[in-house]
Amino acid sequence: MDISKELEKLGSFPSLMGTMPGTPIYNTPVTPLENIKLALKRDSGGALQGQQIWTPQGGDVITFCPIIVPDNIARGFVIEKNTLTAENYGGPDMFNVQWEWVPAVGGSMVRPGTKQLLEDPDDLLEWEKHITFPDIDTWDWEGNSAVNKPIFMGEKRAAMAWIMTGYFERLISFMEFQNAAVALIDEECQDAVHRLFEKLTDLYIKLLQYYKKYYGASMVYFHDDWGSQQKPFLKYDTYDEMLVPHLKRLCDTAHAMDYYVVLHSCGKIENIVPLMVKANVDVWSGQDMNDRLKVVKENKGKIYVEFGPSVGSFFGPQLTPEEQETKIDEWLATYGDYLDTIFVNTSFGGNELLYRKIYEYSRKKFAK
Amino acid sequence: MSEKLQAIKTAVENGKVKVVAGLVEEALAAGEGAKEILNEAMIGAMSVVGEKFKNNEIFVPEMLIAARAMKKGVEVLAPALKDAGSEPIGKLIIGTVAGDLHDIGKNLVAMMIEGAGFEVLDLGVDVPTEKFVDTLKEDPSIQIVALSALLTTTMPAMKDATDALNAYRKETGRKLKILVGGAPITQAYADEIGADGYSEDAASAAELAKKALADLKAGK
Repeated sequence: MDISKELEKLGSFPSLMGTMPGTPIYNTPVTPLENIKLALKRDSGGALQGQQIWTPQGGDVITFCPIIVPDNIARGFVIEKNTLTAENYGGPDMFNVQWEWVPAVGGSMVRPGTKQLLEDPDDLLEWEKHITFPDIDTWDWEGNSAVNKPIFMGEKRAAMAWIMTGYFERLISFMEFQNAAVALIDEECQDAVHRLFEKLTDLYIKLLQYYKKYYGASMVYFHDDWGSQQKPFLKYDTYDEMLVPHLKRLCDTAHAMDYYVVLHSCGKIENIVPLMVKANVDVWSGQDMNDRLKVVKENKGKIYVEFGPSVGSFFGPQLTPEEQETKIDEWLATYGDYLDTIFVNTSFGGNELLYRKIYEYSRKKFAK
Repeated sequence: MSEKLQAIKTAVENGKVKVVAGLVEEALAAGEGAKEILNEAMIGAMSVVGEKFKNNEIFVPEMLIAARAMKKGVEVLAPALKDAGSEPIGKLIIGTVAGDLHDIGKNLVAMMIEGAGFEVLDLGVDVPTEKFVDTLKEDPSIQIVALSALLTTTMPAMKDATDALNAYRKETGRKLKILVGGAPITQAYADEIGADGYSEDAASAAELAKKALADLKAGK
């Protein structure tokens, strides 16, 4: 099968990542967005159809974190036409929680000791008195979309909006980690937690409505850290009882709005992937300490796993092209049989060799 | 173990924060010794909690709530412990090294070490190297320093702190143990920077602290 014409470069998508080069546009049989839809289309029973023509990659997606959402400034991820330099990151999120930009991390955190919205753990029981939800209808969506609409609307790639702070992380931001973790298993607090997560879900759905209306977004990257380096923070049943119902409502509503959901969670949490499947998450983006081979072997048609070979990135140390090629070949030798369950992470589309090799390998494999 | 002590142990293990204080009062009223309540029931319970955590039978919230239950019990027990001349088994300071704001792991470690019977002085996050040394100078009863780092970028700060503590130890001849931990830290790194011990989780850290104390007492 000769696919050389498909890898002819027709131009490049503009980059929103500072000085990073734009992602090449290839002469693919369908657009990257159409290919992602083929991968993530579900049948009437909810199974992922897996009809992609090639394995979707980071370069098939355009990340979108608009400046009008305070979380994106607070957490240090503004990715749109308006850019911010790092010294402007941090500050209040949409609940007025104060974040601090930590250059060494490349992200933000709430400094321990900062006054919490739920200062006393018992405040959670009546959180409605202490937490003011943002009125996002008052944000300047029209103004922001005037600058960004030309970039995102009608994109041939999937415009993926980020929701930076999910359920557990949001609860932590309100009452710090220890109180948040205990609240999830404290019978006296659980109703209040459910009420809070219900309302958060409503907020996140509303954000998705705006992202769809003003920017044509088709994916959401939902960020909620569920584990440590060694294991999940919580018991399997605690996730199931306290988090999954809300995440499922978010995912189901997102699907009805023509969105696909990527759950990003750090930590070694491979054992709770079945719960992501239960919540109808489409793609799990996790970390390297997980046994991804086991997960992809067990989850074809249930969920995709986002990862890829470590070939260096625009942000990190660079390997020579020969070293990169070796790494990619080694990775394909291990995971090549499971490319129908993988989204390949290409570091914001920054590695052309990786893109081409994965495209070629998966294109030929899926054409058989 | 008596029925009263067993009831306290079970309540702490299961994180029954609201009932532990009452059970301790009942046990004291029934003539149970304060030291036995602390050592056999409470510290015994936290030891079980640590094991269960290591074995993935319980997770962070269950460990936290058990530690809180113990704390409630110790509040009630404190006067009786003082009367009985009971002292913490050792004294330890803990902190996240300079440039690192992460405190979750450090707090869990502090809680489990406290649960093992130590007095723990928490210096917080982003602790300058000098602060560790100055605190040691101010308090000669401190035997162990525990350093935490979550970031690869703050591992050098952990080395700086360890260097300074080793220099202080050499200069003064003071008997002291330096323990390290955190996501990017390994036993090899601990050895490389001259720390005396490393543990990979909070439950193991409590065991490590007890071993470090035993080593100190044995003159090692």
